[in-house]
Amino acid sequence: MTDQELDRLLRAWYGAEFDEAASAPIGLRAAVAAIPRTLPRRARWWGRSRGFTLLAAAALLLVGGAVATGSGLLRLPSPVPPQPVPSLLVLSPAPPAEVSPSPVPSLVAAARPGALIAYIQSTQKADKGNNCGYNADPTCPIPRLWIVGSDGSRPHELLPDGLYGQTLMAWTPDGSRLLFAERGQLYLTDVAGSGPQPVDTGCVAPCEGVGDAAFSSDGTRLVFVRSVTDASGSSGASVIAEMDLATGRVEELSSTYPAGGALPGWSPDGRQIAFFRYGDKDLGGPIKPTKAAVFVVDADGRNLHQVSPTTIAAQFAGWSPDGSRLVFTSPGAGAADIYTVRPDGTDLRRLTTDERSYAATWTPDARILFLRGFGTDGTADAPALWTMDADGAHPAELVANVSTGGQDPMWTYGPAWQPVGGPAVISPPWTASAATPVGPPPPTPAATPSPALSSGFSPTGSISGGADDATTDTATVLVDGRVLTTTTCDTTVQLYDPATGTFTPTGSLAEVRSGKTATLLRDGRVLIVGGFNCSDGGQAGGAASAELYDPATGTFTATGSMGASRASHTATLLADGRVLVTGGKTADSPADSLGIMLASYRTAATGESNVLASAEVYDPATGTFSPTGSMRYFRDGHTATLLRDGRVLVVGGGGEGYDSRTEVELYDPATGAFSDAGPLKHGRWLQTATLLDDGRVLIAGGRSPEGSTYASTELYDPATGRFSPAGSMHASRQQHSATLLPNGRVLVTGGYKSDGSTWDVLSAAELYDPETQKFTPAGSMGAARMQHVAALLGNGQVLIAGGLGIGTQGLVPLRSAVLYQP
Amino acid sequence: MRQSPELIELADRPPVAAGEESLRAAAFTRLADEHLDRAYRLARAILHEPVEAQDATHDAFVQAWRKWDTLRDPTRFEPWFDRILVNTCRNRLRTPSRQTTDISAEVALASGDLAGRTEDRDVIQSAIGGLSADHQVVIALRYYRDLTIDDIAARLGIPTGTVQSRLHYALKRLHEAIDPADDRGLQR
Repeated sequence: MTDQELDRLLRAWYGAEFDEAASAPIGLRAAVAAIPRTLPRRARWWGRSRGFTLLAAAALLLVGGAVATGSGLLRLPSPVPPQPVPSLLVLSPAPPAEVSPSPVPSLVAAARPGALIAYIQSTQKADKGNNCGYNADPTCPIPRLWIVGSDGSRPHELLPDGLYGQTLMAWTPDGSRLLFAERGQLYLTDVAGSGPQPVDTGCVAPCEGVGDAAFSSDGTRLVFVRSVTDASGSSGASVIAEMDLATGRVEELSSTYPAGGALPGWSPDGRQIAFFRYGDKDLGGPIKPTKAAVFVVDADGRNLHQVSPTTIAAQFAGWSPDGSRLVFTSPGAGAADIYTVRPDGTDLRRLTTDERSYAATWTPDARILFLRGFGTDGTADAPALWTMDADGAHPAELVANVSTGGQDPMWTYGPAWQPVGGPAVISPPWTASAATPVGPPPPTPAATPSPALSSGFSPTGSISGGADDATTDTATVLVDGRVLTTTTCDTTVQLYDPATGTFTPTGSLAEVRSGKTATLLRDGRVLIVGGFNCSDGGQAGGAASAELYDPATGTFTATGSMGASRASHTATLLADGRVLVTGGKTADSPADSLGIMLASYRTAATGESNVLASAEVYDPATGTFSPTGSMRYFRDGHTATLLRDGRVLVVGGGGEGYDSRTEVELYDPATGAFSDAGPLKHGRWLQTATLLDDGRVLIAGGRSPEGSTYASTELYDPATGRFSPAGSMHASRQQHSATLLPNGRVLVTGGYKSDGSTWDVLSAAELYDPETQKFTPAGSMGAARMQHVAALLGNGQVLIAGGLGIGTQGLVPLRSAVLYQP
Repeated sequence: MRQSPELIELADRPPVAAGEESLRAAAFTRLADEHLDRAYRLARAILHEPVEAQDATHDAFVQAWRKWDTLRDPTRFEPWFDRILVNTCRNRLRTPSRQTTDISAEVALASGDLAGRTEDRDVIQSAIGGLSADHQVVIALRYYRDLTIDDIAARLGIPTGTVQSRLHYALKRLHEAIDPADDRGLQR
């Protein structure tokens, strides 16, 4: 079936299945009508426990506070399109005379270059094909191209007869015409809005449409983003392309395929193109958090490289007039902050810090033009056009009340200040040719340059085969010294042999299990428990089943099943040879299988927990699970550590629906019951717990209730049953590894680091000395890793394998491994 | 949990005056009534199951009332509310207890086709139902609401690139699910 046939089939199916004239049931209508009477508005509706919700609420309420009237009530703004209000129009000193003349009676007729600003304004339009109106109101807000004088005078829609959404691309270098897009087609119009001309970019299959575009500063070339179908005929791929306006030759920059980019723009010298790529949560199926990033590529497609730091999201790349810097914005809990950076990625400067700005571009005189105001949760708070100096000084409102076209700052197109006196473009029409691929192929997703292996670390083999996004998720040292490694989202299992330094396949799991556990039994077999089937976006659900690996035969066999499916649970070998399984998630959300990294993307919790407090015990003698006492608190992403006295210390847990736990519990196998212990000083989740030689347990790092990560550690002393501070790591971490070395010290590697709004994945390692209770740096393991595994080998080395690293598109699964020699 | 001084200050404000409250309620009731049919149909298209769609629609309006103060422009009610509704539907798709109802029989009756096409519809419904919640949502907005990529991005509050990506992979999975049946003679 072709894409077009599938397209028709889906439309026909929805058309037949769901009658467009169907009415809501009467009971529902009555129930909805009763809501204002039965449900008091909650003054503290933001009081959910999740940090994200609090931040979103704070953003909205602070916006409300900004427009609160004297009575303290929030007011709704008038839907009337913005009109210039003299007292608010120019709060800052007027822009320099050479780019901003005095207000003129007829804006367009008398305008000279540099006098205008183009922007996208939300505009009420008839609902013809826009699908955003409803029967009782035939209009709806549509993003449309507007022009305003740079002194704030005469804001007006450029093409008022149009009905469809528009996106603003760029001015011609001479400032005489504007390039914009409407319904997948580029147009060129003059500043009077007359005669918009379609721009032919030679779009033929596999081209599916053309988007963001810009002229080179000499007016001879156009760069644009072309949507194409990939080799399998599927939509979604794109590539950055150039067209020579004189010859019509179109070249696609192969290195930018298939991820493409957004808002490409030429460097003033025409040698490079800057663009950005959106962060994407679900590239490849299972949801993966990645960050938007700014890239620069040479005009011939070579030297594609990311210039924004990997630690922050970066959008809206714009060249300064002299080409020395790029401005971009980094979204936060509110709108975004503005940064500039050199095109080689050096000299990063943060210009704003209050997350209220977005869509930054440049003025012809090298100031920064940007939008300021909120646009969260479908609301907009009358954002305004602002300017500031290139170093962030002298920020001032330029034009008030610019209702941008986007509901979210992150997809709002930036304003464009009319250029001053550049060359005219070669006059259209342009005769585009079929596209020719140029330049090198796209780089394979590889980690961004990372520190070299430090002394003590050395490379070893890599896992091979399995799903594209498979990476090592458990590592169990067998009795014979080899290491059994399993993978996420795949049934692939491999054995690492320390003697040869290689991974070789062995057996296969019967089920795909992400978030599973692997526990070495006393008889040498390995018990694999639970996990989600993430091979199909998590829709296949979680597993209550378990499998046993027998090193003698190299095969897996089914064993008993738990009473509930579990993932992100714990499995701890007890002193009597049984295995204690505690907590975990029992829902089949695809997001759940990837854990904390998605927290910032999650919507408000549904209020229903799918996290378990129950526990079960597996008996290898009978091959069955049986219930045991339940924990007092539901937990996932926690730790359960066997103490010297045979009890099990259960620490931490957290995630969607509940804060990182301070509560600690002890499981007594003799009674099968959990009892309170501790508590921790800080609520933690995704921390590590390491039994030290002296019987104490080191709890390191983890995620706080506020969403940041801890550098702090706490030490549990079974003799007192209490925790005490135990020094701080040099970096805060979660989803790291902590391995007790033969010399009694603890090796901590990698992990995810976050301050609540920005994050990074770490390559750095450090060593904890229980005697001094201090951490010392132990160099870099080469690649940044989180959610990786670490196993102490019989020869005293530590195998560090798999996990997630940072690639050009965000997080990428790692197949490599390194060895640490203490 | 940290709470900013601004939040504390806002929370401690005096209650809204009674007259103002009734105006709010009236405005909400009017807009809710006007949008109810369309909202229910969208919920139905995403969730398929009528009772689920009713519950989701009601829950979304409850949330909308709770967030009423954040709607700063009544003319933007629909996209603002759609986002709440779609999120509500998505969360329901993610809950493990969700039961799906086979509606192929009623569709076949409505279309006058009791034989071959019923099976075809089962295939399509099953394929859509096999998608992740996020993918089901974009497919419904694209092929039921017939929204553009930009409009879907606006409804969901996500970048257009993300919408493209989700559509890409959703369609890829639909191909994987439907193409084998197509090889056996799926009617189009």
